[in-house]
Amino acid sequence: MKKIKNWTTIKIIILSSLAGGLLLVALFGKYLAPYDPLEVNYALSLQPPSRAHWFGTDKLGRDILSRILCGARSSFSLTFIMLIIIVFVGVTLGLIAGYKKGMIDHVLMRFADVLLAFPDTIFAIAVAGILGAGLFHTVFALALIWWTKYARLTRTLVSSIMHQDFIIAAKLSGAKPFKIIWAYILPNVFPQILIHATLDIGSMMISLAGLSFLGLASQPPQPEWGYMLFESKQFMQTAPWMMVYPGLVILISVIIFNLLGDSLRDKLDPKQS
Amino acid sequence: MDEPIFSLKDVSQVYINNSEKNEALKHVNLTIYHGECLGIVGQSGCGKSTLGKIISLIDKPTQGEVYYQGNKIQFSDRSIYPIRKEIQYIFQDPISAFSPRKKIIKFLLEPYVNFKLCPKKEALIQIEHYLKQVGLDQSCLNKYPHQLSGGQLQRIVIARTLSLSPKLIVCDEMTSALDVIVQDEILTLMKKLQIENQLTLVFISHDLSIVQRFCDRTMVLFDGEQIECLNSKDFTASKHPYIELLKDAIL
Repeated sequence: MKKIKNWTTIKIIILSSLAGGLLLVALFGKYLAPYDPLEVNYALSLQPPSRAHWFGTDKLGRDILSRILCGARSSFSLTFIMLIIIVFVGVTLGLIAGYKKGMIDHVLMRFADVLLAFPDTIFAIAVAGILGAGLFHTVFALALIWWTKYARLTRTLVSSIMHQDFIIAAKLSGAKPFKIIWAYILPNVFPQILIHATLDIGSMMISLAGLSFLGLASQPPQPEWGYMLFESKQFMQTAPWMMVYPGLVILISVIIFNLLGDSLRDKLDPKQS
Repeated sequence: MDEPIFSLKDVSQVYINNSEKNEALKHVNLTIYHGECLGIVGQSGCGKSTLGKIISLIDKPTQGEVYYQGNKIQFSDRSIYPIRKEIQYIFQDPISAFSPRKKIIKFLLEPYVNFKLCPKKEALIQIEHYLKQVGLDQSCLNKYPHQLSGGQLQRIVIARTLSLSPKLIVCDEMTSALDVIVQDEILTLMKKLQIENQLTLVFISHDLSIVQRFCDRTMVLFDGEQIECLNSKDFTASKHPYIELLKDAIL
């Protein structure tokens, strides 16, 4: 038993340092890149991987390694900004619904049900179709649907905690609603939320990359992993490196965050593993 | 002793679960006098706890009127807040009364912080005093609830309850999660505290022998209905079939 516990801890340490490494790359990728990711050089277009260009070059002769390193920033910051918005909105509304119950709860949850009926990617495409393609619109469309998951999760957790004696005990000792939510409910809900958020980083990155691939998220000159896949589409057979490397980094980052989420769950919530 | 502190008039509580009506309490009338110890007995599911939660103003009854010191209680958060300190409730399961992620010291400081009773330094001295009253010392302050035993936790709950200097305490099966020896210690302690602090106690239990020994009057509930309210001494004389049944069950 002890062995398993230690193994989980080791896994978390390794995976979080890997995830931390990815974030560092995202922050400082610009300085690590051997070339300017925006520098166009037609003489070098579609070069296969070589010593000078480790991951090859794209159709405009831009260095793919540099573009991946710089693209990490927009890929990750997009994911994290969206995650923060979703978790914040979802948890807040979930807390309100679970604590207040009654009318507010019904209205919020039926609204969430309606939103859940939309397939998220198709909804994002529809929003992009109506409001025009753009980063903000896409993030807005996905966030509009994804907060519901956190709201529902939080509400379920809150309503099970609300029945516990220590909430009544807190009320009896004079705690006001805000204090009860902040000091009694939130600390008991937060670990679960954290686990789900970590597990969601992966699927969010894939969704965003998918939408970029469809040309709905990024503006062309800026490097972004999903958009790099989109650009490589025409050269799938003649220059496969254009697609392989961005695809690989997406795959690796998603795996790292998913495994991290899994081991966090094993650590924080041993009952469910 | 003859001065009523709390009274219920024609109180009913109905729970609606999936459009199925469940009458937990049916037309209960009850007066609690200042300084007495009232026992409430009955089977599991007879509405004892429901009644306890109404008396401690945690739940609002679906019907009937509730008076505390002659004033009618409106069950809204704002109107209850001023008298919250005066009516307290002690739980059956001491462990569940603690948030698992909070240290004991935080738990005990809570009333002082919430009601702004006094500055922290003074509060700590008072906490020490109340802990001594319930037979504990400060060594438990920096522990988490799971590091203490059920008996210790129940004492801590009592200490916090006392720190609010309440007038009425509802003890809902407060000893049933504890073994017989600890049970006896806690009961003796409650009796002592009741005299020292001039408390009025409502003692909910399914154990007739405890109630008979501990309480001045006993109210018997059966399936949400109030059967009788007797002096504990007269208890043995009662001829009600359910009370007979209860008495047989002990013997």
